[in-house]
Amino acid sequence: MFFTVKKNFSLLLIVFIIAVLLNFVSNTVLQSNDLIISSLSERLTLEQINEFIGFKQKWEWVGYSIIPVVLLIKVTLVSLCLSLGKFFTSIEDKYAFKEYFRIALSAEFVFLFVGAIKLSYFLWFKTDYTLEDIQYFYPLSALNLFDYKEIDTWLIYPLQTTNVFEIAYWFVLAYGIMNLLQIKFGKAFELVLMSYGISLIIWVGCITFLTLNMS
Amino acid sequence: MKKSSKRIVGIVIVFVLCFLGYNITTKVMHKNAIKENTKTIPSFSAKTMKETLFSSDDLKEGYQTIFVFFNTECEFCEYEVEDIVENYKNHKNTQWVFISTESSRIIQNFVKKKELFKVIEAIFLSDKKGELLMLFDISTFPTTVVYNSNKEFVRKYKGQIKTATILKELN
Repeated sequence: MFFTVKKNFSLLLIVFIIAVLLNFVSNTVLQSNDLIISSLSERLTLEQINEFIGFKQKWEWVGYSIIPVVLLIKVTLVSLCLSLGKFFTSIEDKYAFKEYFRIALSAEFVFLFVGAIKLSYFLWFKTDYTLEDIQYFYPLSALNLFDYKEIDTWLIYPLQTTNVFEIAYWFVLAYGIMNLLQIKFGKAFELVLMSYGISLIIWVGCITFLTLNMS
Repeated sequence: MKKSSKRIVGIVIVFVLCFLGYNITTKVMHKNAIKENTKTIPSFSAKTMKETLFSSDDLKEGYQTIFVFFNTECEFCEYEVEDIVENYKNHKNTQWVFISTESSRIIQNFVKKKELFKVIEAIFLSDKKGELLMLFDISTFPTTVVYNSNKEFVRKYKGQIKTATILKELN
């Protein structure tokens, strides 16, 4: 048990470090002051933009320190979904929550990979970009089929969430479940769909509903 | 988990999904109806600072119309209004319609403070009941809704926007 906790902690630490590093590089390399000025100058005065840059620099550390908290909440919720998923399938298991936590944590590397791809895309492929391009671009997502400037705001999140990496994440979760519960992959995938899949649909629905009401 | 508990959780999930689905669909339909209704300047009426009624029929023909929805306590509205006062001359044949849900007295004080009276072709309307907000589907201040000289919708800017950007869009 001690080793599992220790293993989970090391894995968690690696995920945190990579996530913060990716965010730091993205903020410092991609979002230069010149880019911020050129992107915001259509809306704000120079005085406001300088104020914004000062504020951003002063409170940047808060953004970085929130990342581990957000990740921890996310991984915990996914683990919770997975551990509760067994109730909807006829699978019996005797495993503790921390086992599901490890699976969800390992699968998180898929999204870290997305971050790395996004960073590389703007660093080497689309070098002429705006702040909005960085904000809305999601590799291999349904949003790439549309021009985000032309579609309604409420559609952006569901289209971003519909992406190849999300499917890959489901497969990684199912693979972890298969190994843990010693069941067939199909059965494990069914558990992921019934637990995480449904939760994701509800989550996307809630965000869409909120965006619709606020936009 | 017992079969009955499984059924209850299943029903709750289906209920949540149906609730979200219904609300999202209703809201999208509502927004689409507003979009359709505001393709050209919709008919409206609101009170001016002199407590007289101003309607869409009173808008000048052949002029571009820019509706600015604002609130006197909003900082971004102040910046936008200051920019308008400074640069309104660059917009030829343009009428500016400033709309707030506040009282005429508060709007008038704001107009005086920000020297908005300098803007020629400006109309100030008090929309206390928020009817115009509903009509144009306004959820944030400031929001700027731009129509061309044929009264056709050009663009809606949510949040602060510079007059130069509007001008670029119109040309």
